[in-house]
Amino acid sequence: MSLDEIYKDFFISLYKNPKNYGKLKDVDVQKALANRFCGDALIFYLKLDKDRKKVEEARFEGKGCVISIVSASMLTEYIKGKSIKELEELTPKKLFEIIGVDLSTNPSRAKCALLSLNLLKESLKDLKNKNDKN
Amino acid sequence: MRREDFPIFHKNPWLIYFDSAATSQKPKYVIEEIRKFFEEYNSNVHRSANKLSEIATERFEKAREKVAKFINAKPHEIVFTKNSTEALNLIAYSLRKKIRKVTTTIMEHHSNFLPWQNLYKDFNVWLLDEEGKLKVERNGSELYAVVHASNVLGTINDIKEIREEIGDALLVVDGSQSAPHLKVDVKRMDVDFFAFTGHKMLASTGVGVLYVKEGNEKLMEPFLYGGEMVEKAGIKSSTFREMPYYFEAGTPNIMEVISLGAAITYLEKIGMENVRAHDIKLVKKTLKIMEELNIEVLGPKNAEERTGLVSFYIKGVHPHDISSLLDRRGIAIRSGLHCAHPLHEFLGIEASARASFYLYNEEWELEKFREALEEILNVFR
Repeated sequence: MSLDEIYKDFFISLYKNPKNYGKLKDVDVQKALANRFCGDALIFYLKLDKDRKKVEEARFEGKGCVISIVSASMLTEYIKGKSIKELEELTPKKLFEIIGVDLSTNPSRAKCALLSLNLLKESLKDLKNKNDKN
Repeated sequence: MRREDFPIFHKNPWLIYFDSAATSQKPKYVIEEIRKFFEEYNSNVHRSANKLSEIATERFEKAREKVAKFINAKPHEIVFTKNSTEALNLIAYSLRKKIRKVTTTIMEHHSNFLPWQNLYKDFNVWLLDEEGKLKVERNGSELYAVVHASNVLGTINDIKEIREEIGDALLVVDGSQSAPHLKVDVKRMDVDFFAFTGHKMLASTGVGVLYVKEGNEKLMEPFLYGGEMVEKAGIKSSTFREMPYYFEAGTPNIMEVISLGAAITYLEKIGMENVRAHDIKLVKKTLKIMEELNIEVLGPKNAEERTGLVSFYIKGVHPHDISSLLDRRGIAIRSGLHCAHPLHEFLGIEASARASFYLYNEEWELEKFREALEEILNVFR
């Protein structure tokens, strides 16, 4: 899919009413990250399952462009039920697959999409530190 | 006005370039002068006693004379740097032992904000009033650093009024967005320092200008030490050369300086008053389009109070999306924080989109711009 497709109905409506948007209580990790180039900022809320091996529930809040909001929405949807180990290996290429738009040749907009992936990685790092302490 | 003089529009006939506040396009005339330098007389300046070096030195110094005349200064008051940022850092660094209290403004580009914030303990900031005008207020500072034309708001500050308010304190003016668009007269404005950059006014990147009012250099220590700036280098101590070489250590950006000389020749042929009139015409039309489409604009409502740029935002649409959608339609603008984070923080907006013009932009481009903006409004409706 090309960048133009991002601005078609499906994405715009997802942007206006993003799935998984909002706070989550009693989370295992809550993490924020901003993109210093454009001021976009996201917060991820993640809850793990009983064994603390898988993501059970994920939500996000924040402000940003269509690409950053839509990828946060789709990524939080994708990671539900996935193991932490699996998520630690997520690549930008995989993220572009998840959102259905390959931005690898569009570095200035790839940053917008990768904000949510970077935030996920940071959140997982925090989880790991917590688990190690416990 | 002059689109045909710019080869980039021959190669990209569809291109609508509204990002000249970031960097301008280059006319054939300047590109030719750059080619001539490399093909006909490339050599170092102020060094070797050979014919080529003499020609290069002469052209280099000729460029300095042109720059001086362009802003009504004397040639030895003109220091070449790599850009405005370096020029402003030079002043902040070289004065830091003589000056204690400084004031800058909330509408600065980072380049005229961060050096003062980080090198001076007594650092003060002028804010804006309700109308968005600078709150000019003497506060005992020994130095005031002010932007001539804001790269976000487009506001042209009244430098003479600021001079009257601050008395004989040092006045630093960042002219990055004004020198390409307005007739600048450093003597009439009575400034101590004036900084601008070549690449925003048709020249190559890599050349900036710092005007240092005669005598001010006595307050300042060198910024960079090395060749060219030294008079006699001894084992125990050294002495340094007079202005402007005092601040020009090392081999300068020769081609870039020559390109700036050529850009000024080109601009003067057109006449800065005509450049200004063209800006006002385009800005007026843009403001009208924005009003008709109900799009929020930053800065003064009157085109005569602005330089050739208009920043705007559309509620519910991120500036990056605006710029991507315009780009798909061949219109290049800038979006983001424009290296002015403090201003966006003060205004309480996350980011903005900016359309900036120059003498190669034409009115039909604004018609295309209007159509594209209407489409964007429809996408997000």
